Amino acid sequence: MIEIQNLTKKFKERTVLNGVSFEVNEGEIFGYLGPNGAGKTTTMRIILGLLKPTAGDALVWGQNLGENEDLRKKVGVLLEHDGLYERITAYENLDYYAQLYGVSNRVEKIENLLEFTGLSDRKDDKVGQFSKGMKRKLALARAIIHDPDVLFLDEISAGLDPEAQKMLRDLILRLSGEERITIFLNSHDLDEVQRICSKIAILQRGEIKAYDTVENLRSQFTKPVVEITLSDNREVEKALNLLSSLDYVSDCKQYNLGIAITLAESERSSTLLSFLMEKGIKVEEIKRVTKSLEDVYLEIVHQEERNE
Amino acid sequence: MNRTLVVARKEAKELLGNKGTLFLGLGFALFFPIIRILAILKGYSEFGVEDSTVATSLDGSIFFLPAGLGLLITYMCASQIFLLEKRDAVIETLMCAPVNLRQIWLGKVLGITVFAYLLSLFTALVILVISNILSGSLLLPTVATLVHVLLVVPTLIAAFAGLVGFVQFRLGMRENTILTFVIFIPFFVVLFSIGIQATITTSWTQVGILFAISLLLLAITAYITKHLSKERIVTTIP
Repeated sequence: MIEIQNLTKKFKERTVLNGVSFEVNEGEIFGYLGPNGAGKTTTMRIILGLLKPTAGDALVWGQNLGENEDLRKKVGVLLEHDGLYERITAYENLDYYAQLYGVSNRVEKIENLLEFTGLSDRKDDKVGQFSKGMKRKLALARAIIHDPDVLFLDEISAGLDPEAQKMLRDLILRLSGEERITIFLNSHDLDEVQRICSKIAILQRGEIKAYDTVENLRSQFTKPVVEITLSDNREVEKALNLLSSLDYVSDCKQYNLGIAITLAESERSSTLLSFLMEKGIKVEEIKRVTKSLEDVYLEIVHQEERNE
Repeated sequence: MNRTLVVARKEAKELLGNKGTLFLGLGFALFFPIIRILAILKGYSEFGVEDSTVATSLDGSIFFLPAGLGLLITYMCASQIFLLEKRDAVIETLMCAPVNLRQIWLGKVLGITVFAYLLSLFTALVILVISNILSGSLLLPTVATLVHVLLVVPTLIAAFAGLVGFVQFRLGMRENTILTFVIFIPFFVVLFSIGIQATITTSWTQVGILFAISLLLLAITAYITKHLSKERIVTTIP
């Protein structure tokens, strides 16, 4: 559905994007991650036709959005700035875009969306009086007023309190689940991306550093860690010495009442348990530690820094 | 509805619904005519002149003030409609909608023109009513002045709105601020300093020349907007 092929963007001598390529399939929630200034917004602006690429292509359904007005009718947009008119009411804001997108059953659609976003009782208030969270919800309603097939969201929860963030996340998941909308999400909020995205790309300094599903990236970029708690605390020292000698153990260290063991290969956790039992060390509890996307992200970013 | 008209209607409605802009515009539309008419009638009462001379002055006022105020209000509105929308990055979202940049520009120009022209007409009406009340006799503008108000003034306002809008879209915020202080404020100071005091006699030649200038300005502005790009607007958003 969205194909980015060797995308490069230069502003004068400064290269903002350098040979970026990825694809987003229909129905996916795609997370486009990266630190501030990595080039995420520039990529989105090129896809939306607001900027022209220096080289490469950014295609949606095989076409350039900037050159095809009809195609833009199938696309919803919520950029970093809300893009709302503060001196007119919430209803008028939605009505304006409903007319621009040629929505046929405007009144009913607007009422439903105001209900959906919980803003019905504020529909006749000027948007300038709204809180940041309310503006964001209204902007999301505006972005989906024409029932788009694909939705572009840029830093949707920036500056929102945790409750408003959760509300927006739930709205997005509902849209993806019930309406089957493809979602392209620009974000540097790792927690948000981990919670809602099926596939991600990590961009750093204008280049894609990783591109896969969250699960694959976790296993690809982080080594498996198991934590064991011993029945007898006096055996920790002995266990540490034994574990250090194993070739499939990358690292092991004591923490509180247990040992955290980093394995070179994920399938060795059962072997590890048998090994300790053979050596007469009683294990009370063993658990696999799941690495977060944050760990993956930091690993990639640090790896890049080490390479430099 | 045509998308240009959707944009135009929204802009006109927003301007009419903005109490600050509306009251300021109405204030100008009352203040300048009253000052000018009082000055004219005071001079005439001191030196004693015929009704025909008063009528000529009325004609000159209706020729100058609605056009001058129309331009001033147009500039104020353009700053809200074009510049603020760019400053707040609202334009970025609008450009993602299925409407092209020229439709957006034209819609905004039409919206501003409707608002500014309504206030221009109000100014002309104020001049007419006050002149008639204070002179105590029936004074009417000439046909040339009427044509000027009904045809030239809206064209001039539209051309000016288009030009200012183009400039504000094209330039960055700093360049726009510089332009306001270096070009626009001095322009309006000079325009009103001369216009308020000048004795203007309306003629068909003047009306024709001003109409031709307005049309030319409108054509030039419409042409140069072809060179307006989304990239230029996006990269000059602060």
